Amino acid sequence: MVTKVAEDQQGSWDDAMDIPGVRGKLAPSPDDHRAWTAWLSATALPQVQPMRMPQQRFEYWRLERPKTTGIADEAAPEGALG
Amino acid sequence: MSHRDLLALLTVGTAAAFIVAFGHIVTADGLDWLDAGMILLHAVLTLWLVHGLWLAIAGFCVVASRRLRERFGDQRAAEPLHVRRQRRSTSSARTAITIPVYNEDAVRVFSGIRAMLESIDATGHGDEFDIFVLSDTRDGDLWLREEAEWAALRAVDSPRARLFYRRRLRNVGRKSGNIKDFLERWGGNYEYMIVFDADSIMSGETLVELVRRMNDAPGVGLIQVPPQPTRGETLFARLQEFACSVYGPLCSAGLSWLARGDGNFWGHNAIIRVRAFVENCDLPHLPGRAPLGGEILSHDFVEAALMRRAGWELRMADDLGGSWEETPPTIIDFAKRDRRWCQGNLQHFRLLFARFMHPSSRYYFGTGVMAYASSLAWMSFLLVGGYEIVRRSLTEPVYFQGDSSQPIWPVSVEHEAVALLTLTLCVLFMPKILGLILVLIDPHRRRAQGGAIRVTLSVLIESIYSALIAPVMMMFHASFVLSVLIGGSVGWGTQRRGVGGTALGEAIQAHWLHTLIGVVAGVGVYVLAPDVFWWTLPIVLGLVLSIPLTLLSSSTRIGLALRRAGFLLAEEEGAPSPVLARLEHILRQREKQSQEPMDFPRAIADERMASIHAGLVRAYGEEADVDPTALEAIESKLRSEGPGALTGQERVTILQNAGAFEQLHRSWAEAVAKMKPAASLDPAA
Repeated sequence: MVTKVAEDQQGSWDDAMDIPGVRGKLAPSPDDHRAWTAWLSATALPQVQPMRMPQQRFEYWRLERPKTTGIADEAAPEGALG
Repeated sequence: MSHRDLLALLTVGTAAAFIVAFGHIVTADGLDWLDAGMILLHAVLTLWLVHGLWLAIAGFCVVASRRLRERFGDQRAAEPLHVRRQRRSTSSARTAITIPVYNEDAVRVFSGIRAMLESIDATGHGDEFDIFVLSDTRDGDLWLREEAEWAALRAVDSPRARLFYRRRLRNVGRKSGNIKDFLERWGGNYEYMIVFDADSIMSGETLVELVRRMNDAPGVGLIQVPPQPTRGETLFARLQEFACSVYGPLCSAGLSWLARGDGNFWGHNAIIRVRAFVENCDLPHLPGRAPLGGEILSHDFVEAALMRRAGWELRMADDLGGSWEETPPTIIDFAKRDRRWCQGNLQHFRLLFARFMHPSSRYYFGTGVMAYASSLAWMSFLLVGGYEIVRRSLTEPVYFQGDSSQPIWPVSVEHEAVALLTLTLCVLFMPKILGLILVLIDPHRRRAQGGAIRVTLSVLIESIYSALIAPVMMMFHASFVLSVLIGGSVGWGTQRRGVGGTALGEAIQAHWLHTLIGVVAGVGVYVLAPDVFWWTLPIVLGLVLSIPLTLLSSSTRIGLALRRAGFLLAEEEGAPSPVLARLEHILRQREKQSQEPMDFPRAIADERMASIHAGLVRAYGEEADVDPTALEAIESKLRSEGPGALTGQERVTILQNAGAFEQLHRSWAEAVAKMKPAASLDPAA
């Protein structure tokens, strides 16, 4: 299953640079097809080095509703403030 | 004064002169609401046009001074890339080249990768780059083709495992979701990623130089290398390539001059600091529903804005070269791509007013919106102008008002109008002239693009063509904007690349309305205001001829004939880059081999391919569950009718589960053995 990424799993930027996980596994000859396909599967993807992308947000300027006294608000008929 | 302020000052100053002159002309007989509307629309269009002019002039100055320095001995400017490479920093930063694909031509994609791998190896830095093909392909046969091409290239590139492939089970978030999935799994292995499109190609020297520049500038989050279109064969693609080759450097240099560290991201052919991207670029959905809400379609501008907001510098390397992409082969394909881009760019209008954005990001959002909204403004301007023509032609001039016996003669502003039109045409064509000058003063480019006479004639051909096609594109863009505004949304389509040829029916379907409008407008103006007819002819002609223009420009025969004759040549065609030449060679070899493409029937019968597919699905770790009853039904169908009988959906269902695929592979092998013990497993047998 997909590796779930936890906060504490995040690798440091400094020590994570040389871990593709597949280097050094020398390829057999493609003629030896069982060994070759096994090697392909084993090296199809590098070792997972998970990171978490925090979702960004956008803030917008809003036209603030003018502050009014509670009395005026209560006195105003429904819909009078627009 | 910053470059941005200078550009704003020059643009507003020049545009103001044009707007005042236009106002003087249209209000010669008084000001009414129609005149005010025309002045407003003219002001919007003029600001847009003049802004482009000053950007091109800035780019011209940058490129011309660069050429002068090269010519008169500034060693740094003249230093070729391979010399700069030797001075390269010794950092062992690892870089991932990410290539998202979605139902693409696998042979083209992997041939490009092969050419690029060889080019990187030639620099001596091959071990610093890994390549990831990140597939979102939904078609089962195309998926298998990608896997077969990947395995074949792995065999060639053996024993180094540096080309990786994975296909996502669910293509959440489209291209940006695809990149996010890569980063969340393997991003920690890399300091940089270079994002490609399926048709991108970059030279090894440029890739290595990009890493060097990132190493030397830790505050830089992204460097964009402007891609040049390449490999076009239709007349339309060749015109695009030529235009980008002659005028493109001006625009890129102008933008680079304007941006400095406040650049932009164009979605591909750019190096990105993984950390800057991961920390800032997971895009939220916009509030509301599509088309203007929901998923952000044109993610690149937004990602750039988010990185800039976080303080990362974004640069543009317009001096590098060695960066290419392919262009849509026909006008209709180009328009289809524009439909998607239009929706994405109009979404940016909502971010124009988001808080904490850098002013440069607001500028890019604004220009992105204007790239399409300006067409609606132009169309509105023509409609209002047309209405004015009709109104005047149907209204008798009034020579006497009130009791006055003195006649009031209509004021003629013809000379002013001609002068303004001439100046506007100068603004329109100036970038083309400046681009041509840059080619003519550079002996290398002049020779590469066919010599002074051919390149000048090519500019003339391109100018006539682009003038004729401009009203057609205006109609397309205006309709796209209106369609988005009334709620029309687009899906995620695959861009057609390479192959040209537009059928007559397709051209009629796309342009019948343009033709009709052109004929009606032309006849109407000729009857009602014959003295204005010649002024409107370029617009009317483009619309009337839209069908033949589309058919003509989709011709590969004409495109290639012009190339052989030395016309419309891009710089790379006269002096081919080794990586592009190698790509062409590989593709020619593949054509000669005329190998049957991999598909489901072949894969299910091929033990080797079956192992590769199952291995890849397991390596990625995401598999879809298969309902046992459905699996039984598919297996039964396979055994009785053969693998060719399975539907596309059935194929994908099986392919998404390694165990199910292996089970069917064994089952089919048994079935074939029973039917024909001595026969091969080839489904064609």
